[in-house]
Amino acid sequence: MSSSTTTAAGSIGSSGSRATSSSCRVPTDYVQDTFNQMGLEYFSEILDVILKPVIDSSSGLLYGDEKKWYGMIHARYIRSERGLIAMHRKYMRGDFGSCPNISCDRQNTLPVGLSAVWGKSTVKIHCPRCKSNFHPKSDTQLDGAMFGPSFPDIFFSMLPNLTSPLDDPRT
Amino acid sequence: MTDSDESSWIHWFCKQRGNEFFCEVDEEYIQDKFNLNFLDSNVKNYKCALEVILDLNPGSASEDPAEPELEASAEKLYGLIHARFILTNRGIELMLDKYNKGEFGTCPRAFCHSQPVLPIGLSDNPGEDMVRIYCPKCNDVYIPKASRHSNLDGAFFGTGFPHMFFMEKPDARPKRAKQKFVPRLYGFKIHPTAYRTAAEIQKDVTMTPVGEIDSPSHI
Repeated sequence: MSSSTTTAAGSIGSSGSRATSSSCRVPTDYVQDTFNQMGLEYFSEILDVILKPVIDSSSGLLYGDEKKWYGMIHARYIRSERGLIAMHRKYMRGDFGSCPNISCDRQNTLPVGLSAVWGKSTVKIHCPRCKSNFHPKSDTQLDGAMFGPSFPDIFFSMLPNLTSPLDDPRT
Repeated sequence: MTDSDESSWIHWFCKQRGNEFFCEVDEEYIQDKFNLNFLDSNVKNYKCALEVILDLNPGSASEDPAEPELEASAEKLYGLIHARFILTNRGIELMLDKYNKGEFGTCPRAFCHSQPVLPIGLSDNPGEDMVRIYCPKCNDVYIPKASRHSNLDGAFFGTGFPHMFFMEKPDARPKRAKQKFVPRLYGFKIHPTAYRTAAEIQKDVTMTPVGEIDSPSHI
């Protein structure tokens, strides 16, 4: 696996390309400098928003197109080795909530988007035990594209050592 | 009995925060002893609790036991009466109104698209489990979203309520959910073998015959 630094750079490049194709006047240099740092600095903070419905509008970084760009970078970051480790830590802590189905015995869940396209739908939570998607308990307005539809499967593919019965609900 | 229903204990109780799932049981239903058969063994101070619910003898406070304990008995008795009442035609009518208004919440499953749900108990015996919500679209049972609703005893609604509800009101039952989540990785469906545990993968590797490994080198 490539280092997270390389992956992050690649992600920014990809974002830059899409910015160009969608006619958004964001210089590549600006995207690289600002979003690379922002992605790392605000990682924990942005995820906390999942559990709190209010987004702090006083933060200029989370307003207008910045929100969308950050979301796109975020969707790529959480697939990197470093991002997966951070998400694993949050998953084990139950930060994303538990499955509301009574049969799943409050199984920890992961965030998932129903579409990789921005603006389609809000983020959902995915239960690996019943393999269904649910609305999060807190009515977050985070876009599902910030995580993407592939994240739960990437998560379990890259972390196959979740073999404890408590860790792996599929056993 | 008080002159105004607005100040009745039943109305007050159902308006309490956290009691939104309850409907108001008709006083005539409670006054019929047949409807209260065998409930006296479940509740402490049964007679006084019944008087509290029906607002009888409001002036005999000096004879009553400690207020909190009597109130708890009254609430428990009301819950058990409520579980029977909502199985009657009248009770189902009242619950249908609440269901149509979405007062029981919506299904948390994404593909049920905010389908209204009904309260359901997992046991008919008080004290065993809290109330849950039943979604008629995916036919599954969930923990209520608001924690204040999770504090209600499931026996106050009973195990059979949603099923009696839809037997009485078959038109209210929605079509079953056909949409199912298909996990995809970069657009591709996941093969079942991808869900093997690390131990299973290791086992498969170990069981591979040695001969098959040598074959490619010969070619």
